[in-house]
Amino acid sequence: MIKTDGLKKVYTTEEVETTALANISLEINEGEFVAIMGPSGCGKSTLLNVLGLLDNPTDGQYYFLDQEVSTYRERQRSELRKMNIGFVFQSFNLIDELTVYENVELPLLYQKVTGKERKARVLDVLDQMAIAHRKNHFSQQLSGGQQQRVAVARAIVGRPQLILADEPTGNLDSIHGEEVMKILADLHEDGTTIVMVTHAPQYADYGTRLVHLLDGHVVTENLRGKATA
Amino acid sequence: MFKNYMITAIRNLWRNKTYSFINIAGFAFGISICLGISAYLVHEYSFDRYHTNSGRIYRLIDAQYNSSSIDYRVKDIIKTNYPEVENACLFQLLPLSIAVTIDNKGHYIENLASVDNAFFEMFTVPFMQKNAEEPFPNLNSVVITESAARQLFGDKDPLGEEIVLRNQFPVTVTGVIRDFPDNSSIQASMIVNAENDDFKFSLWIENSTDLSTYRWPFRIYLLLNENANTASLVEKINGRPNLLRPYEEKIDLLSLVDIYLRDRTVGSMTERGNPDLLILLMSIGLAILILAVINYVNLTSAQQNKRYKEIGVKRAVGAGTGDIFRQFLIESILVTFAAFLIAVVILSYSIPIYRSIFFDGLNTNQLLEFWYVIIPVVIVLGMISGLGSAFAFASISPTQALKGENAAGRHRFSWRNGLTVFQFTVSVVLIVCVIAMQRQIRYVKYNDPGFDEELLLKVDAPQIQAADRNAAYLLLDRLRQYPGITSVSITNGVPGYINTYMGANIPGKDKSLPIMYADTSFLQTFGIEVTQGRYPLPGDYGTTCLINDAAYEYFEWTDLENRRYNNGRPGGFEVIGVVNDFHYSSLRSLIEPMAILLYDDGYPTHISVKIAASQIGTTLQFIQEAWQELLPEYILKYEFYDSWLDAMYQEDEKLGTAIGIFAALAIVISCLGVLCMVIFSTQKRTKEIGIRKVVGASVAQLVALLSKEFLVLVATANIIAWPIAWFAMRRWLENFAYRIDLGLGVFILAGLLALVIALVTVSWQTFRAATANPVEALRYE
Repeated sequence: MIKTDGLKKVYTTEEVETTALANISLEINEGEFVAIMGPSGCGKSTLLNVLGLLDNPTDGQYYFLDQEVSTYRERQRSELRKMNIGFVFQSFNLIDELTVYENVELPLLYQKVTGKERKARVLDVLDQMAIAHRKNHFSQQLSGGQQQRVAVARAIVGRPQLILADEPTGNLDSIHGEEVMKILADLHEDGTTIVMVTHAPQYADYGTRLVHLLDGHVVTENLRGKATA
Repeated sequence: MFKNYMITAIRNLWRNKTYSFINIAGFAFGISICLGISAYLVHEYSFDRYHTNSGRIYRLIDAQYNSSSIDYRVKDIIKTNYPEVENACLFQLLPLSIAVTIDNKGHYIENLASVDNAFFEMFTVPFMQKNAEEPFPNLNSVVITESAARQLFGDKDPLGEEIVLRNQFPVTVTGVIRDFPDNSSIQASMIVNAENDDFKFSLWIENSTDLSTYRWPFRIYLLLNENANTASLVEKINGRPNLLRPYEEKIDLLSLVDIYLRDRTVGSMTERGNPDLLILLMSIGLAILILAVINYVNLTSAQQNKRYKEIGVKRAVGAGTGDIFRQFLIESILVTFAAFLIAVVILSYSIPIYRSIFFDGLNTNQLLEFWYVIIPVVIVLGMISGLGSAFAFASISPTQALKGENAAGRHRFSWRNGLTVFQFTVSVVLIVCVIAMQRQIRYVKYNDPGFDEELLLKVDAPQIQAADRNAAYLLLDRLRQYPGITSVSITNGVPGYINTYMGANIPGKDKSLPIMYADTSFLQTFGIEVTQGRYPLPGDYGTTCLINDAAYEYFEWTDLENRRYNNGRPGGFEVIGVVNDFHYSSLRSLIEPMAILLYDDGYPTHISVKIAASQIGTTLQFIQEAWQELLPEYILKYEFYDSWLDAMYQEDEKLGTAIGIFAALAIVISCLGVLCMVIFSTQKRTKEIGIRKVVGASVAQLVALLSKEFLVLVATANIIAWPIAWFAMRRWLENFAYRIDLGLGVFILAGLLALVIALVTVSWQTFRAATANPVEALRYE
């Protein structure tokens, strides 16, 4: 599903050049659950942004679904993104002005799904995340765990093949963190490919593969037995 | 999707109530001013367009003398000889108060018109009542407006009633028409039949012994065929000059719809607008609208950082740049539309203000008829306002948005500062205009008119019937003998109202000059001096005249030996003296050459009475009593000259007030924007302020630091504004023959005012930020 070759990302400001990704070559197959670990500033989030087509690499190749996308324009990337990728962020990133229902509905609006189907799918996924009873609430009225469940619901409502989770448990206590991890594990079980950045080894254990990053390089890659819930 | 845009927009506005309020209120305010001005502009540009035939009606003008006066016989010549002319009519107006009598009771009627039946066929003049097929079944028919009918007859049916005009001409009411609307250049309250020789109001005589040189000037309107070509018609008519002779040499056509704003002829007898004023108002309206748009753009972009997360998320879940662009454009259109609706409400409540500025009958109906223009304009306005932020939001990358970064926001002098400079520039220009206009108007009002208008009373002279002539003479004698009155003069025409023009028959100097008929006490009553020649004596009547300094110069005379003013009368008038130039029309115009013909009878229009100081009250009472006793059937109408002349500058004063009000509003809008910018800028610099305080900055230093930025903007605005204001005011002042000098003082004063306004606006917020607890400021991070 994903193949990168010598992926490089350099941020340039007026005076400084910062290399966030130095030379990343990575292959992720369909159905994998990859956990990425590493210290702060090692390029985990940058990698996720590039993999999620939010950003283009400075150099190197990136094959997503067998297409070389590293030079894609924003329009092409957003087309690919909206049909194939779901994001879960550490800070949930729910839009404050929208209700739970409206936040989850958002990806379907951009996918131009008809109103009737939208409604059915949103309610379905809210049910699945056990948050349907709060559908008319605003994000500020929810607990952290609930907010992250809404964020996951929003990530999966568009039925993406790939879910990118950037420290999904970072802002949650251990109970809620565990809860979100179980949801991700279930999704993986159902065949969704997941790439997750995390600091916590116990959550990294949910992954089928562990990738360690340091200073923009892949240091180790471990294949693991699938963690059990 | 649209619903989602709406929801996000509305909830966002709600969440940032203060900003939203300032933003939308400022916008609404600006739009409502623009609408108010537009209501007036629409009215002014709609003049005469309500006539069904408006596009096909033209007025004949005398191209040789640039005059609208044309002998009535030209009408038939043109109508018979040129098939393009479908119909033609006569029009003439007495722009005076006319004394009318009904059942021996006197009234005054304004604007008596004289037209023929064809007038009613060509123009859209709806009848309320009519007792014959033709409006004028006979020569003594009169048609009156509904207001005149109410004024003269109350609830009584006016049809068939008799009215005596000027105590001399009995006429019978044969029709009642609706009042001429406000946007008609033709205004009349009573219309008589021009076929009746008594109602060919004025007469030009070139030679009293030769009847063929008598002229009865009228305005002639032509109704052309659908496919007539005006240029070729004019060419055809002028190509056969013999047909028009001896009445006309060369004619031209002026379209009815151009008469109100583009007529430059003499003696048009129709209402005239001021196209320069309209352009000025349009510019002000547009400037205010631009200020409001700038506020909106500035405030929206200042709010940008609050929307980054939303944009980042939307981009992550699949929104493309186009989606984001559309969202913010639609949002802006929605806000603009909301502001527009509020503006309409504000306008409906503020219409009395616009009425006091422009005219009493102003309403918004005419403007709202243009909804099909207004709505698209509002949408375009919304698009223009939203374009900047839509671009900015759409071009930000998803990762930047998610991080809450603004790549463009790091520059100190942003385009937002440019917009603020623009706002202050407009404000300074308007302040300069207001100051300069007020000075000019004051200058005009208190300028020496060249005659002594103090305690000088202007009494309208009614048309006296033969039977009452002795009583009138008796009244004049009594006035002359009354100790409270220093002098009395009878004239036809007075300063501010001169209705007669005559040629002088001097080779190479064939300009028609304004003429007054006056008695010998005119100079004494008005305090006008003879600068050359001699003062007139009673024996001079009928054969002599005076001219003013300007005429003496115009004729290029060096003495008064055998000088004659040959207005067509055999022998003409001997010029016995030259008088000092005095203002007989507005100070807008230079004092032009004029002549005063010495007459003691004829048809006086006014009696001027010079009252001795300290006896005003008793003298006025004496005049009223004497009038009541000797001329009880005639209405006494008087006014002091100073207030009558003031009225001439009412338009300018109104304009001055209007510009003052609009300038103040423009400044308020600019200040609203600046206030928000200051709030935004101090918020952004909270950390910096905290650190500076911690390392020892004083409150004064911080206020200076924060205010400096805005003072630089004001200074820049002044540099840009001064030449613009100078240019604009010089153009306006060109309308006045006598005008103030635009010294540097006006500009410095305006600059200082703008500076003070800006300082007051920013000081409160900067002081608050500077006095805040530094711990709070640092915790902000």
